[in-house]
Amino acid sequence: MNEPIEPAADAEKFRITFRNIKTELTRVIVGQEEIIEGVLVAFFAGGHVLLEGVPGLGKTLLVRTLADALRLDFARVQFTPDLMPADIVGTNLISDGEHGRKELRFQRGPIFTNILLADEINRATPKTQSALLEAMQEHYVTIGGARHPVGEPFLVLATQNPLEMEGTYPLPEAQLDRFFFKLKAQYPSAEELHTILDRTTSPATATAAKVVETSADLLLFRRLVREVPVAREVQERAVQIVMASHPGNDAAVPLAKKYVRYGASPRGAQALILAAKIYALLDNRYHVAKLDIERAAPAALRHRLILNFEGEAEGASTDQIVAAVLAKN
Amino acid sequence: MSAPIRPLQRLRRRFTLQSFSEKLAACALAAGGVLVLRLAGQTFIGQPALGVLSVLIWSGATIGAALVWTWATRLSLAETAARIDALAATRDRFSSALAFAAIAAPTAMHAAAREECACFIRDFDARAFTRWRCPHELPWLLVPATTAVLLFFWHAQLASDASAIDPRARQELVEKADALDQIARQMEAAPAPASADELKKIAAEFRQSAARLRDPALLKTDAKKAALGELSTLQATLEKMRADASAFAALTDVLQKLNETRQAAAALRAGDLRSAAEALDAALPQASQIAAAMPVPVNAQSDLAKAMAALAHAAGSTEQARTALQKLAAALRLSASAPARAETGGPALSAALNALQEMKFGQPGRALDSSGKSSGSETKSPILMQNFARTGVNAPPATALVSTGRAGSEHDLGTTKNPFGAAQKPIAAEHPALDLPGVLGAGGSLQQLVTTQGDNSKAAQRYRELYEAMAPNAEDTVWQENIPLGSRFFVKRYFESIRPPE
Repeated sequence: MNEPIEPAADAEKFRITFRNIKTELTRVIVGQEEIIEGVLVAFFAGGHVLLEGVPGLGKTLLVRTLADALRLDFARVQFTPDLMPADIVGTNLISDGEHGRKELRFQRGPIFTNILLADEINRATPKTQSALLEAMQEHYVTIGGARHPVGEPFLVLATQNPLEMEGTYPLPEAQLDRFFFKLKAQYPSAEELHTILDRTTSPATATAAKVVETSADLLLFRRLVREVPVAREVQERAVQIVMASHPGNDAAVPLAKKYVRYGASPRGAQALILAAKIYALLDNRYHVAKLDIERAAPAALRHRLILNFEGEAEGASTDQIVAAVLAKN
Repeated sequence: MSAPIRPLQRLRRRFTLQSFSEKLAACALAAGGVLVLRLAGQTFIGQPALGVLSVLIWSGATIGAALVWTWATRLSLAETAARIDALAATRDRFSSALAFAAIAAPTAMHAAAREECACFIRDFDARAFTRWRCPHELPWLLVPATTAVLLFFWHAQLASDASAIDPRARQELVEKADALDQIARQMEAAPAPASADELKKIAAEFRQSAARLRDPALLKTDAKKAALGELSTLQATLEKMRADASAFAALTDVLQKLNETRQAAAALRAGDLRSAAEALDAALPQASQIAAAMPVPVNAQSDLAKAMAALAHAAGSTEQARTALQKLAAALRLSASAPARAETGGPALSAALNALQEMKFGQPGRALDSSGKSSGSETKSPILMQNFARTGVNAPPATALVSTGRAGSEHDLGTTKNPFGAAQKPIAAEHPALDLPGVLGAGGSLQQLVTTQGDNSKAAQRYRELYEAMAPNAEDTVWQENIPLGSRFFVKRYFESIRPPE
């Protein structure tokens, strides 16, 4: 199962696969290159992605195309206020078994897939949200005392609609921390909109080719990522960034002291290192550099900084705080 | 040795060299500031000169301080790696290579990372990032260096100016020396068989002074100062001699008039001071009568004159008179061992004194004839000089409302009815001499014009000479005049207040 890693060959294979997947996705999805790269990085790091953007930006198409390129199963759940946990994870149903006996049979929910698109997760009730988030963290679902593991690899791409705030249940901070990256989908430019129209309103529609042969390769790549070494001095940079985001810390930047209530958790540092390892491999290196960590910081930390009342009242952006943290050496 | 260690050591040496140059510049800047302060003290407040050895020690200390400072702040290998990674944007390859080199059991990825980093480091040219840069402090070194050089040359120029002698001043010195030589010749040629040795000694002193005036090596600072010093010394010697001569003459006259002391007077006239002293000792029983008849000498510069004054003041006390008489005899015995009085050399002495005064404050000295009188045309001297202590003065004791004519006397009514003094005339631009109208008192007086020398003003020195010349007269006046005890304090305090500073 766990084949030994051949750094050069496996790294090269990883780079090629990553590049190909990205190419296939950009053939189908117009623009959004940062989203595509972020989703791929989170996937290979074993994390989940929170996507924020207005409807109609191709989030569902992205996930479906990604699943096609990776030869993985895909499911989509539209979260609504009346969505129940069982609608996500599944439930036990009474069915007729052998010999006419009634027995419980577990009916799997849509979560039992490789790539799950949880659309507008903030519209569901906290109870339903927690059902999904448990599966994201544990990679299994417990129903009736029985554990049911989800698929491997497993990626949840949750979306939040920034426009509709009425009747929504914002994700609590503890739950937000479970997402590896938070990516912001930008509205396409005029040129990109033209391209979108050309592609989607003509008879011919682009589809992504299969890039990965088996899921074993994906699991190998995930192992390869974790094998990338980090020097202590380089890892110190990740620690400095996380510590500088805490207002009570001596090393905190003034902006963090002013607007932040809670800084990034250790999960944030983990996300920094894992994402930096992937960036290092993509840069033909076998070691992590400080530049890789700084490159991963915005997406990895923007949803982990909790603003205080003054920050929210003044409309402070966590991206500004992250930028201030990165600017401090 | 691991791959990155040697390159990092080379880089560290280069960084250390750069650091040393920066710290050396900083230390040199600090040392330069101290040097400037030291040279300023040497130039303006007369601190001892800075020697070459001191400069060398300072330089060595500066370099040593820079070395110690550099060593204390030397980068470690990890810091060196971090610095070169930041400078050259190497993607932290140096730091990673150094960290991975220390791993005892590396994984495959570690090995791959080490290999990749080592390959990069091997091909990496660090010269562009480790080139020596001029320290920021280096241009600022020009400030203390320029200031120090300017101060050094300024100090040297001042010393040179002080040692240089103005050609005109040198010419004046030569003329003064020539005049002193001429005075010496006149004194030697003066008919003074009784005091020939003494006059010869005085003449020899004149010649020695002339020689010193001609020797530029002895004149280190101010030519005129040196000349005036020589002339003042000679003048003081002559004054002392003349005072003694006048005192001896006065004493002889007085003793001649008293029966008890005629024998002493004869001995004095014969020049036998010891016999005169013994005669006075024999006359001790008549001390009170001698004291009553003794006049008060105006000029009490010499010990002899002071003893006479004390004897005169002891008129009412026999014991004091005996003591004063004994002191007078002792003074005579002392004078017996001193150069004999130049009684017949008096005119020569006076003429020499006048010539010295003119040399000090007027035109260069005039030639003197064989009698000691000045020859040549009578040019109007800018200074009216009066002699001290005219001999033979036997002023009566002061009485109420009668002016004694002696300066400082409480009965002196002055020379003008105006309490603010006579009307003064402004001095013209060329400072010609003025004959001040008035009636000269019966007593002696000394007038001296204290000149300045422009930027090299030595008025304080002239005043010191004047004070030293006048102070004994003032002291004698305080003792001699009938000043109440309470008022004496104010008089003495006045003279203390005008005493020149040390």
